Amino acid sequence: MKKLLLCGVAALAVSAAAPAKAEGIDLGLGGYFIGYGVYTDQDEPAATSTRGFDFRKETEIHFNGETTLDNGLTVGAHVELNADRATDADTELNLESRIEESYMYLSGGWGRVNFGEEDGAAYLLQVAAPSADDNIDGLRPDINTFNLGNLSAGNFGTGFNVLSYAQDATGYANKLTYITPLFSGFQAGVSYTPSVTDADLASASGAVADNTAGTFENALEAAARYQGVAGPVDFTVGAGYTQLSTEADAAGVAAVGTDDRTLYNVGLRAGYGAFGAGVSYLHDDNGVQTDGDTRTWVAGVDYVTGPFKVGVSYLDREDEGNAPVSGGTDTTETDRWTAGVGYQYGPGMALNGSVSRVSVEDSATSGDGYQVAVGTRVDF
Amino acid sequence: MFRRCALCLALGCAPSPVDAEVKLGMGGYMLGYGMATSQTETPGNSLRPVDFRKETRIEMTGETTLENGIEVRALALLYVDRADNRTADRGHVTFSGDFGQINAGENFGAPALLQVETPHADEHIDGIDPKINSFDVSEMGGGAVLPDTLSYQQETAVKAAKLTYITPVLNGFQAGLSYAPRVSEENLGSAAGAVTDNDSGEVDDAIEAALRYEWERDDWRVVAGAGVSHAGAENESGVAPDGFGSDDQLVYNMGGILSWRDLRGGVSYNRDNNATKGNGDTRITVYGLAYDASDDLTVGASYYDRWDEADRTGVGRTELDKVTWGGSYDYGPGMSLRATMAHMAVDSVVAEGYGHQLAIGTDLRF
Repeated sequence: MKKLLLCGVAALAVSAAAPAKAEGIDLGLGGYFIGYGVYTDQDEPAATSTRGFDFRKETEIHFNGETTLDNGLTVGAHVELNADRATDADTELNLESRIEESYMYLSGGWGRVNFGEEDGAAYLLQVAAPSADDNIDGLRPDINTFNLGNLSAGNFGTGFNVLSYAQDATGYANKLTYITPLFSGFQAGVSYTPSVTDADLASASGAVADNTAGTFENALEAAARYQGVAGPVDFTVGAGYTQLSTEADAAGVAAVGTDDRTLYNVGLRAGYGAFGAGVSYLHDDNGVQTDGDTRTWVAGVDYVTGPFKVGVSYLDREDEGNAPVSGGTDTTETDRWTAGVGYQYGPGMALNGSVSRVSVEDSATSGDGYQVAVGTRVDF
Repeated sequence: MFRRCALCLALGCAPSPVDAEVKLGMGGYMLGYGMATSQTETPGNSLRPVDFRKETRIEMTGETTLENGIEVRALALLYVDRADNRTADRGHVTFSGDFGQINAGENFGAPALLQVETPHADEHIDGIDPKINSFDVSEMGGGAVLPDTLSYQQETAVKAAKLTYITPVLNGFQAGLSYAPRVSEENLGSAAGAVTDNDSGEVDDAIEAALRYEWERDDWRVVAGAGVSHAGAENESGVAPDGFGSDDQLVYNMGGILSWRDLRGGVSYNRDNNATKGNGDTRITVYGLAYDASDDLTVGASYYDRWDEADRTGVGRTELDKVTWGGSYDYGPGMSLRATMAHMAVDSVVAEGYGHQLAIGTDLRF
């Protein structure tokens, strides 16, 4: 700060307003724009009407900069700014932020270290199943209009509409991650996150309490993946593990935070010519001591030829009775089928269309819905 | 936006036609630290001993030089960490030339811009406006009022919209003046209606002045400066004598640095009556020493001593001391590694505590 401050003062003496970055890393701009028209037809509770047609949009502006020193060390920084009017309500971390990721990194022949607000190793190395449209049915979808809470009363409260299967329990909380270079197809990574709650991240806040019942801390992540070729088939297989400790267990056995939280994933993806197929499994005990697990299976196939892509995916999710989604009632079963086609009409530009069907049920209620989404993604 | 902003302002102030291009730029910094903290805790509480801290700003600028020689520069400084609950830190436009510099907008006032910063171990830990900290002062007995971050920057009118004039350097002297109509409301939306100006517990009409002098000969260098700020209480009668706004706010600072070759030492003194009529003053004295061991390595130490009178803290007279020592190493252009140890002690009428903090991190400049 003082450097910036002095820059302004120094400008007086030389009568020139030279920017402060003269000796630092040059920053560049990037990002993406995703815009969709979406039609939805789904079950609704009595006296509730869900909008049939709507527009959905997701925009990020990225600030990137890196340089390579004489000793071969690459130093860089990356910041992602959410640039939509709607707030990015990150309900799991209880924070609305205009900033999504903000971190620095060092890399070289020895691998890469990330420090800051970025996903951990478990997500970065996770193997996703092929999708119809990554924005709709990918590992961490950006576009959705299903209101799952309206599909099945009592289940899927606000914030759980998007059926992600990303292993990102530590969110973007400040963490330190090391990822090895690729050795004969193998790559591994580890992450450490002291404070999982975003509210603890302010740069100058005092030391935060670490004995709050039901709050997680000291998250450790480890992941590995292998990519190889067997005859005409190329494949990637990977797995990841995350452990979050409770600062102090919450009372009871059915609430989040009554136990340490453990997640793991395994995934396999194979390609044969233009065809791809894969499967991914994610298990999350949600930090609930009894009957609180969430299990998600995803399988997908795709076919890519030139600028065209066709894909189909199936997601199967089971939330036990005490999982946050199930509301302490009964096991919730969720299925989603998605089929779609994509066309790249220019560099970093794709036109996508997909149809999805989702159904949710427990022993007392059930519902289903359809979604047709047509849109474009422009990377810049 | 910057292009339009800068050009509009330029057209408004310059009689000559403008055809110069506006040069857009980006800069800023990212700080990342690992912190280990051991400190006094209130009974039944436990504080995290190891944590990460991060601070990032991105600065966007647009600048051009008019035909009459006046340089126009617009700047917006953005917070870009997830924990920030707002986006903009500062936004202002600067006109500079042989006449000096005029700042208009959300920026520091003249006392902060010309204030002498005492030598330190790591500016982000023990500098004039530290950005990285993991001490919890209230847990050490400092009450709820004292900040965790021990800034001694004179920013009475914070970053409220203000007008500032700073002279060019004349024989080593430089002076500045600032005026901020609003202080307590800080930054209003551009189309907000007029705000009331007789509110209890608020101050307004901040006037600031500062002077700085620099002298250099052979291996010796001297820097000295002082600044004063005055903001009027909007409604004194509605505030108890120990409350903010019971009196006009008066703040001043003075400081000096003496350098010999690669060694420099300095002292800074700040006093703030916190707009209280009673015993509500804050007095801060900072001593610092730094030595450039090589082109890349700097080591330093500082001692921060702060007194808050009884009406300020609510827990009686409070004294806070902090000693910091450490250094920084430049491992690349605009990149440095930093490591410091800090020791803090808090002593109030009702409680006392102490703590130790190890901070290791890096600073990247864009």
